[in-house]
Amino acid sequence: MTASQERKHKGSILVFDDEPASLKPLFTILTEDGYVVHERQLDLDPQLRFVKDTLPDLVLVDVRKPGMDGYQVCSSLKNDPTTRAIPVIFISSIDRVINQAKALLSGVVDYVTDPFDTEEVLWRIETHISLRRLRENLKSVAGNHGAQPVAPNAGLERAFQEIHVLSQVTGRKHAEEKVRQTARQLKFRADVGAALSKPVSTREMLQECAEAIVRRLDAAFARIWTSNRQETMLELQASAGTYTRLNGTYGRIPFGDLKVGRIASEKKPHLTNDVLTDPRIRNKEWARSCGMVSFAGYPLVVEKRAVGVMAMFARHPLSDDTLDTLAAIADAIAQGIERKRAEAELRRSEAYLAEAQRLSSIGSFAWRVATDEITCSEQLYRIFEIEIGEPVTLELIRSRVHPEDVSLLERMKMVHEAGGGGTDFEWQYRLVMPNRSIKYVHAVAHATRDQDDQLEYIAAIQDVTESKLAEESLDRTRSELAHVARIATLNALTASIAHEVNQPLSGIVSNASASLRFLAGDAPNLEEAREAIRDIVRDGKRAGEIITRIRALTKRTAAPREKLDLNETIAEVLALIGDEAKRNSVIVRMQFADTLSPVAGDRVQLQQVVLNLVMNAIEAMNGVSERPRELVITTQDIDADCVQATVEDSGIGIASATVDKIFDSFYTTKTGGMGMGLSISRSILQSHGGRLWAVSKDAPGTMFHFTVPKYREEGAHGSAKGN
Amino acid sequence: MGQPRETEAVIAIVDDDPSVRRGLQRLVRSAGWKAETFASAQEFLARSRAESPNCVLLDLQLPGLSGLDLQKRMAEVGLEIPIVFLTGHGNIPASVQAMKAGAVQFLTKPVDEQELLQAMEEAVERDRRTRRQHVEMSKLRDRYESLTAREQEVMQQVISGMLNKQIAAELNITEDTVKFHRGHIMRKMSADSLADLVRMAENLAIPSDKRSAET
Repeated sequence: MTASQERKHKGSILVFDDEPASLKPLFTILTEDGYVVHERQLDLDPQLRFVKDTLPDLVLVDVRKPGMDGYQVCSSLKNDPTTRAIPVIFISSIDRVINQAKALLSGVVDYVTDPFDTEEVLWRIETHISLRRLRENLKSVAGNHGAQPVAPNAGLERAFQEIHVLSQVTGRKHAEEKVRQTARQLKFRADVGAALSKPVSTREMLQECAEAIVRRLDAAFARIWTSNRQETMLELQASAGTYTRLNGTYGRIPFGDLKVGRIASEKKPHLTNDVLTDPRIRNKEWARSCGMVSFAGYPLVVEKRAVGVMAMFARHPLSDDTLDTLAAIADAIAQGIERKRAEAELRRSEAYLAEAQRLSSIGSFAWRVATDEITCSEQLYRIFEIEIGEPVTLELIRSRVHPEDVSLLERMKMVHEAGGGGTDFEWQYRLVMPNRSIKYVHAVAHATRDQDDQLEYIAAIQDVTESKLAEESLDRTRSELAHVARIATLNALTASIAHEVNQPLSGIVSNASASLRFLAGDAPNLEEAREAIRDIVRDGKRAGEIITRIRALTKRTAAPREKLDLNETIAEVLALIGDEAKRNSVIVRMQFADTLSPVAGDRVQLQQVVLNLVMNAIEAMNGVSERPRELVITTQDIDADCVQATVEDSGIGIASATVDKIFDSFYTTKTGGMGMGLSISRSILQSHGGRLWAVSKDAPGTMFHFTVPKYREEGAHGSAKGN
Repeated sequence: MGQPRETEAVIAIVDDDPSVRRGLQRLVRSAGWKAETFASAQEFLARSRAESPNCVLLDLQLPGLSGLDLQKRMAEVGLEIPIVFLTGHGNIPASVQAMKAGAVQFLTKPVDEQELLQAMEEAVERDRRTRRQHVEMSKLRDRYESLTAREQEVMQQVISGMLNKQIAAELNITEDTVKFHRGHIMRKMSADSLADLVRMAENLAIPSDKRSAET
């Protein structure tokens, strides 16, 4: 940092800009630094008169806003002899390319890019004001000697030429040299300033700085190292001049090692104009043979952290001014390194976030309610299949939502409006892509307020299509498996089922034969015939029901949950296995609760479970002779949520070790059995939200219990949570 | 259709299925007979025996005691009612067993009306014969009981083929006395000939005197 010399009043600066508020920080700094600052709006006409009246030392023109023609202002100033000499500096933004030719023509001396480094701006301003003063002095000196001044111009080159011409006339070699040096230093600072502002890599930026050192300060070679985060190692990033290799001996220097490492660890510069006698310079032979005279090494420090080292060798001594300049740019370069690091970190974390979003198929977006501004992450574009870069509006988003689910969005909006905004949301809905494919998404939105108390929703939207489809596929497979198992069971029951149908058929045939007999002869007995026919109708329906129930069991079900009476559901199945039980001498007892809450379930699937359990029970009692074969089925309201049913047998029972294993797939003790029945039954109950388990009785036999949730009115499947 | 019935008959129907019971009951009635229905073997056995049925229509598959078991039990306790089996399963071993144990017929459901009526008639006829036989036996026994001890003695020797002379010598009575007893025996027993008497004796399981065979 150059030592600012105390001056009463450094100079006056006039600032033209359209938006005074944006340059406020700059004004404050300029004022604090000792300048008098005036402000004027750019588009007012009397500006030029004001300039003429006040004759500031320097004019700043803000050309950041499009449409402002600062160039014109500048040209006007330069065309007027009274204001010609006033240096004009543009303030532009990094992405607005200054038309340099236009700038030169219009007479600008320099430009500052926004965001700007205030120190940098200060020394530029100071430099140009000093330069102007110098020029004034020279002119008056030259004038005293009768020289004809060349028409002055804003460009540094021209200023230099002008001075050069004057110097030839006056022969003031010393002043000439001083001015040349000053000019060089100014150019040097400008080069470094430019290098630091470019959007290039750290290495390229530092290389340009090193080259500027060599070019402008006439160094033999210059090098810049950066340090690692832990401040233990320096890595060479730039080398200009006689040596340009980066991977040589001095490519990596630990802190504390050699002179450069010591500069880094001590955070103090090392300067010498007599290399051959300096104790820190080890290789004196080399220094002598190359003609090295001076060395300057500066630590690059930001907030007490050493971020690098800058060093140069020259074949001539270094003046104080040069050293001052080097010290100043060391600071600027350190800031530049730090800034590049921060930018790199930011880019890296942005890249991580983008990648994380891509991997998890989660896209994010923010919606600023007041302005309807929407910002989206890349992944969101991908999820919604919108061209990256295309502006996203609420309309565009709504157009992608599945027409059946748009109402959910509307409901959310209503809740949002009713609640005055600020509720958190979570919901699932479907999207329809331009190619008509469907995606399932799960969205979570959080309401926040920014620093201006503006309401903003931040939402994360996850594409859950894959898992949704997998879930559906799994459901379908389960259903299919249950269906197959049902058919298998029914096949095993064929003989019994045939018998069950046969009974009513028998009745029908007997009744019909009897009717014919009653109607024959001289005195037909109509009453008997009528009774017989009534019985035929009843038996016919009974047979029909059995067929219907069987057909229902053979169907593939994709039935949603319906309200069922569990007693009725179980009774229907028992009607089918009556004969089977009889043939195996099993007595079936139903102990149903008188009042049972309705349950929510799939009738066929639950009947399949009961069928499975009952068939198992009958089989378990096969061969039991020393006690009655009893099959008892009980139902009861067990608690507020569920109804419980129990199938109990007096068979051979299950060893306590296997009482859970029996539900495993493929576990069976039957030769030729598949072992799927119980595992399917359990999964049916689980998908109902219930349970199936077995308990060994104290007496011989087993109890199979299962629970089914009670029927409740369903709520909507999206929910708004209050905040 | 509808053959006139000379006699009344009561048909018992044992089947646990109500549809089957009702249908059979009606069919029996349409044939002019009376029907009684039972839902299980136990129920049938517990029925009071005021007037036993003339035929039983019996299902093979019953809860508790099966049809075949009931057949066996009836034989054990001397219930000689003819049985017609009806079943939903055409089971060969069961049918063989049933017929061997004396069933009239073994039919499958749904049952053919003609076959069933025919079987029932046969059963009723068989039952009638059986009852007649019982009555006959009873009468025969009464007649035998009405013989004096001496007459019974003589009868035993007569049916063994002994001549009057031999019988007289054996019993130490005169031949005339033998002839006298013989006349009474023939009259009391209502036998027309010696052969008749021998047959009656066989039916009564009276042992013949073996002594004559030894001489």
